[in-house]
Amino acid sequence: MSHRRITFIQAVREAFQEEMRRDERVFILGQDVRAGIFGTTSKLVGEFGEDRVINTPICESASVGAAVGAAMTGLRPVVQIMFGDFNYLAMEITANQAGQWHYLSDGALKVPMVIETPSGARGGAGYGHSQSLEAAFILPPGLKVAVPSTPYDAKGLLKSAIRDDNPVLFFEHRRLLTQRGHVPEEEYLIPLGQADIKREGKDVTLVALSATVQKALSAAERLSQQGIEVEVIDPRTLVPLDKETIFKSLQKTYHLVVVEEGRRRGGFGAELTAIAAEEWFDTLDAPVQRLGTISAPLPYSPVLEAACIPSEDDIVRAVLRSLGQEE
Amino acid sequence: MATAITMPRWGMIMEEGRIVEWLKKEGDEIVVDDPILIVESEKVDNEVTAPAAGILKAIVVAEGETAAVGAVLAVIASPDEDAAAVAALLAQSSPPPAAEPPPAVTSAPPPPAPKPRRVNISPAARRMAEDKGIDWQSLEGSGPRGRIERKDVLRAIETAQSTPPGAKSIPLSPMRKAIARRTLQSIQAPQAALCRETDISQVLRFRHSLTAPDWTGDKPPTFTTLLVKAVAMALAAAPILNARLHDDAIWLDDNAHIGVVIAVEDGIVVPVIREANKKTLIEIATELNDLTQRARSGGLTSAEMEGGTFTISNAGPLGIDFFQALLYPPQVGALGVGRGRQRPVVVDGEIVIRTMSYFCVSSDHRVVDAEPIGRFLGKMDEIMQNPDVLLKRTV
Repeated sequence: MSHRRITFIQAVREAFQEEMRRDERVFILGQDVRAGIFGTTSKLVGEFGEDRVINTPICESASVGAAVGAAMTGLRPVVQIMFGDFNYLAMEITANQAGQWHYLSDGALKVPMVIETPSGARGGAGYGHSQSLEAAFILPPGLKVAVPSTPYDAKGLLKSAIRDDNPVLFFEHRRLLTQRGHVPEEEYLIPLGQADIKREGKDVTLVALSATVQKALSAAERLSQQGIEVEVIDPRTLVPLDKETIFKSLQKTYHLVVVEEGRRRGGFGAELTAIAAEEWFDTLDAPVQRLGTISAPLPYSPVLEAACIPSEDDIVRAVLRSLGQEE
Repeated sequence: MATAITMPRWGMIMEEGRIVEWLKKEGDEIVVDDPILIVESEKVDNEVTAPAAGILKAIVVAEGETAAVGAVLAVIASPDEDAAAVAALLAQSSPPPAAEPPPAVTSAPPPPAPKPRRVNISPAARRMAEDKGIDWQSLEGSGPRGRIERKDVLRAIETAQSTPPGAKSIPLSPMRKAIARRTLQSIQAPQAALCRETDISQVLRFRHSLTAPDWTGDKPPTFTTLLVKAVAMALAAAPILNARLHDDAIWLDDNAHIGVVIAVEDGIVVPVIREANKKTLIEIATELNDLTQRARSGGLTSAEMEGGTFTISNAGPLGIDFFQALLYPPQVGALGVGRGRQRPVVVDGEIVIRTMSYFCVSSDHRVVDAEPIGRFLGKMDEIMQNPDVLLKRTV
């Protein structure tokens, strides 16, 4: 097994290459995907040609609508929405059409497509370019939601997403894009709905998504020096959600902390906390601690931006609160 | 200026207190001496009053939680107070090292009996307790707001498992813990008991003779009432017994503050009759009656149990003949009184029937030797034979 370390961008591009070589029905469309603004689709046009790497006008609803139609009629499109925030422009198509036509057609139609969407706060990109909206897509039925936190997970999940017969939202946190990680040369898939334990621990179960996984791991390292062993779980997909892995961990730690960069109000943490209260009540030894971004527009100032989203310090404090060791 | 409300120290032994109830909430307007919260120390619940006027800006310690003496509980500030000043006070979480100014304590009227508290337990702890057959209602929680957590149940399971078969494990109540601490502290003092058999026939007759119009009390005084008065008088003959030992100094008190051991559910309390040497028998009877009733309803304040200079324990009603009472540090003397029994005794060459009782004085031998105790017990005997002196206000 090789010990190759490549960037998140390279890992995603490899997934595209492998899947496009494997299945000629797979194609990419989106704004400037031939050049590739964030690099994930760069150079693909050279190998696969302009028919399979299609630049679109600046109109997200049209791109997603075209992808839905193509998927219904037998292709496997990947539509890129350059900034996660702009998903709202295509929300009608995504939420009401893409996710529901399989049911509406009594199974006659499938909508096998992926929305690849760089998102999240990085360097004060400000309004319209910074939000983490993954939790908005756990509400509509029929959609799957992937939130990879490493190059390895990104590649394995994207390949599964492209092969899945359902529409999958694939969120790439922009702070992760340039990070490197181990990705084997050999082909592999990561099934949708399988969480990954990023660090084992016995005292607190810390569920983290996307870019907050790195912060959670750093926080866990610091807490370890105080003798607190945090188990960091990355669900990797929000729909389907691997409840079993989280529950197993909770049966060991009895303390649950959930952190996301999406907004805290009505976020994934709210959903997980509700699941914990409904299904795992007897394994809670303390109230669940929930961290997320405040309900405000994200500021351009990098300093203010950092103040709005959960930090490593916030995570450390939340774990201590869960253990009754602070506040 | 922002002012902190801190955990008061009620008496020398208090180390921490538990917030029973916040009577004010954040944002309330406060005037000086407003009752702000009720704090439970080892033996009593007491009000803490406002040291300053202003707005109750922040409550730091929630109901049910415990805080060390001196810890900041809340902050009072003027409405336009700089947030930094409030934050600075809040940051001052560790108690000040040295003695504190006396806290504002309202000692009267007696506070109402504490209402039963809801027991908080985490779902996981509750499931574990129920699975293991642990009675969690009686556990003490170590979590926020006194919440019982899994570790508390685990501790109880451990205790239960180390309990021998056929035995039942009951956790020590806060009162028993306090008694355990005080008696352990007491036993550190080198103490001895010296006993004298005392004829109490006369004083018992005297007691029953106290009826209207000479005695204005509802019923004859209790024997303990007579003992309080007699001890206050006899201590004048042996002042070294009316003292407290502080490091290398003996504090001799001008007045006799007599503690009386009262049995209550699950333990004892020792309220103090202040300046008993200046009080009449009726005053002592009234006060002791009031203290006894409130002791049994849990309504004593800690101020009422502090500052004693000598303690009486009357075990006669329990059928005890004689015993060594444990000292109540820093006091150096305590009187243990056994039951009165009719016995044949020789008086002036004839055998007569008299009611006899053993009076035993425990003393801290670092301060008191046998001689003053002999004098004290002799004086007690003399008073018992001539009980009319008990009707005098002073010796």
